[in-house]
Amino acid sequence: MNVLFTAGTQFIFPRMARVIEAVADARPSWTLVYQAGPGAEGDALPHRVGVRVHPLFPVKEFKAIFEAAELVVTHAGMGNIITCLEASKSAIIMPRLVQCSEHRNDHQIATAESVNKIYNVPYFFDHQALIDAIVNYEPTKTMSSDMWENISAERSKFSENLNALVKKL
Amino acid sequence: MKILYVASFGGHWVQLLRLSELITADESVFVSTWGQHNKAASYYLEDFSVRELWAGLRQLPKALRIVKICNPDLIVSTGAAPGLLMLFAGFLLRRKTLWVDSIANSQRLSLSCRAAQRFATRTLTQWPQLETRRVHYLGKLL
Repeated sequence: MNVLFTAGTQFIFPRMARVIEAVADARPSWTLVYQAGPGAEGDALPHRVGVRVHPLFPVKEFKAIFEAAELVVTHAGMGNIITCLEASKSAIIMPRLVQCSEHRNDHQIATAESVNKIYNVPYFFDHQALIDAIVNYEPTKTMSSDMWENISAERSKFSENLNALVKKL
Repeated sequence: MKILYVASFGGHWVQLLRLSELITADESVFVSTWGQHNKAASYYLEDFSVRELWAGLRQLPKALRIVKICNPDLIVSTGAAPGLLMLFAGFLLRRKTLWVDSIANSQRLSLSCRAAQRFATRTLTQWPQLETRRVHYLGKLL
């Protein structure tokens, strides 16, 4: 299995590094790649050989890694979530939490809950539950193929309304 | 119709690009925040949080200059604080402005959005349950 972990670029995210270490121990044959975010060092990095880590991969390289990944484990950042949904890429969300000093506010919890409600993307606060979900992940359970149709339908409605508004301004 | 699109790098930028594909314009110009991997915009501002008022106001002359040089009919932003600053510059120069709050804000409008509604020509949320008298819902990117 090929798993991409992305922490986003705001604050350091040591909890995600601990999840990666646990997955690396449980599944030594898997290919794990981690985009840790700028400023990640020491405790914020996974200490296991074989995990490929970079603060911020160059755009082209990240694209190749993203395409190769069978599963993406991401913080609840809208950029990554939109990219996963558009590509019908299987994803699991790990929201950054204020109580762990991982963000300024808890909007990532709201984001994860909302995305889960509409597109059924799983999310976890508890790190052991997340580790279990990743380790036992079955690649056959892919996201629904009509996801892109849903997104396109939402956007064409939005587009119509936006153009009507812009014309009126 | 010439549109100036503004967003800080990351999720706001991803949403801004998707949004720009939905609006018909003769010309689109992009403003973003400095970043090692961000070379897609024509103009750049330093990133700052909406709470760092000084870091923002210090860049107001630059924001005003960008608006004057580009001379857009409309300025659109998905956030965050640098987008708010550009919209404010547009307001001072009597341009039409549109704030589209990030889809990440599903339970509460962002602080920048709540500030934008005071001077932007139109303010939108991507969640119908967050609609108010001044902030409207016209659809969402997902």
